[in-house]
Amino acid sequence: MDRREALRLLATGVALQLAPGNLFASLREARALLGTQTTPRTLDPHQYATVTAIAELILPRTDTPGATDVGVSEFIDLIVTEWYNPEERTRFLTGLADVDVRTRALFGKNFVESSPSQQAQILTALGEQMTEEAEGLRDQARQYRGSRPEPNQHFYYMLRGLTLTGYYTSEAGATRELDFQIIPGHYDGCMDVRVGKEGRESQ
Amino acid sequence: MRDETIYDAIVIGSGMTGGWAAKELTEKGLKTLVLEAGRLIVPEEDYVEHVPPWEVKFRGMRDRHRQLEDQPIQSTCYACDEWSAKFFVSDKEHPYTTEPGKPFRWIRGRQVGGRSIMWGRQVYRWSDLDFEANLRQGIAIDWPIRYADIAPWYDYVEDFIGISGEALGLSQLPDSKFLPPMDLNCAEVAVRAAIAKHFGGERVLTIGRVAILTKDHRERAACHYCGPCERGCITRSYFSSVNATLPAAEKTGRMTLRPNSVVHSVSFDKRTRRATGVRVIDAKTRASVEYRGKVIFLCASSLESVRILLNSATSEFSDGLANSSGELGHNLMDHVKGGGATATIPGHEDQTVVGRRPNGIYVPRFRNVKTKQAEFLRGYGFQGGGHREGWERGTAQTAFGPEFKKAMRRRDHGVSPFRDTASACRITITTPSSTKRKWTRGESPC
Repeated sequence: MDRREALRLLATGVALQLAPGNLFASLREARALLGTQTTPRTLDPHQYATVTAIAELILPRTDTPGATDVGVSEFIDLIVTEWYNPEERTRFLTGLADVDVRTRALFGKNFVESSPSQQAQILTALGEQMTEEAEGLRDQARQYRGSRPEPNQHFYYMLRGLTLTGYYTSEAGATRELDFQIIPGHYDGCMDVRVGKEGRESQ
Repeated sequence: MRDETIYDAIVIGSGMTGGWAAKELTEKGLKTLVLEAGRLIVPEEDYVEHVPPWEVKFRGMRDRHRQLEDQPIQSTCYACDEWSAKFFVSDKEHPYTTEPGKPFRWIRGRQVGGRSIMWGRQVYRWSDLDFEANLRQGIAIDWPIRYADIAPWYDYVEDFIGISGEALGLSQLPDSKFLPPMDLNCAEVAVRAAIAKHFGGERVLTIGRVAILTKDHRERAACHYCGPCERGCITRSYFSSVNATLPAAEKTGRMTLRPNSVVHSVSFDKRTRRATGVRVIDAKTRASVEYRGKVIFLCASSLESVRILLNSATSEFSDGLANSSGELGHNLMDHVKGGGATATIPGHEDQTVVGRRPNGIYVPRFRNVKTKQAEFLRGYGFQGGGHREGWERGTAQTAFGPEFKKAMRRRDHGVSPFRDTASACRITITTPSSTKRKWTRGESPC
């Protein structure tokens, strides 16, 4: 359902008296407030390029936009600048520098200059290290009764979390990749789905 | 300054109870002044339920540093998120103290509508099992009423606010006047069947009973399943005073709503032995104003109403107004939440949900209903819900690339009920009399 349809839905019945024209005033306000942030504030050009390359490897452009298309790197720079505390910021930037250390040790060049298969090897190694850390945490927390501890101190976990958040909360990620609708209009708790060729669920 | 009008009634607070008082009094013909400490809420401008995540700065991760600084207590509430934080008070501007090691999270909303804007919307009738609990246990004071006394009033309120749910005919959880129930999802249907099989009808799982319309009701539209009720609702589908009772009061032409009016105290006339008015501090100009009325309703929330009475002390009533028993501010019961379990429900790969249901499941009390428990006195109900895991699960995975992206399109099943237990807990409220700013102090032994 697009916004015009959403407005039409709201305009029926009682909502008519509620001046639906004002409905998205706050949306416009928020958009104006956000502005268009273009210059990274914490990440230098090389760090920014590395983050962009990793994010695009995780969520590449396919038949829908990829991480770069929806501005995941800008979002990551925002979080590193305004959301992380100093300790997290240091951990993130140290982890990011370590990616190049690994790549240089194996291939004699920086991550962004490496071939796609070399980059994939590095991400696989980072993933393995993240998994080991997760298993260690779970072993330590055997008696812990609650949700499973996650390796949220690990650089790759931090970066994956921000990449996925930046992507799936973007307009294209939410609506084109996940079929997110602001106003679904109805609820069906248990509906059969057919999974299409492209893997997306549809009714 | 003094307003010369003598109102038939003054209602202090415009939230859940203030809205009801305003509606009932004005509809019965009383000229009513409603005083609200916070600002005016204009739904078309203030409600933000349709603002998508890409329109908020931190994409739903909240303005972390501002919250730590300004709302360290309020932000412990799930609803105090990047959209709805504005409906919660600034803890910095509204401080209170508790005894060391005895924290009490006082979640507060100061605006027209109060916390009825962000409340949980779950509504359950009490039964005689609850009304007679003290009597059966031989403690405290027996309730002076029974279910039969209050049942018609439940009907009256529910008929106006609109409650969706499933009638079960259980003695421990009387049915409300229901609008059609919302659907259980696939995982919840599976758990319901398993409970029925294992507990032979003694325990049941039902959809939450919730003050959200599942069909158009009394000039309010049915829910459109956008999800986050706590951000407001432009179609007025869930019940709040802004959505329902205040508009009803407004329609009578007999309500005067005055936002930004912080009530200091109730004035008492020694000669007539009556409360005669309310002393107010204008939140914007800091001017003192006195309003006079024949009847005064304190609807400022459990703690604020007590604070006002404690602040209304006179030389005759040095411990506060309406406190001859000395019990004012004592015996507050808090709702204890926590614990529970989660599980993954296998199967259902070919099923999904459409829409975001702002409601969960409920397991009504089963302890000490039919069979007596040896070491457990009363009972508890469960709330919870089934959901499918979304893209968030991908963070801890190691895969990447087109196949990973495709896998994230599909959602996984899980059910995560949380236990919600009521237990006894005493809290004493005092106001430090030595300070000019009389902030409430809550002492919780829980």
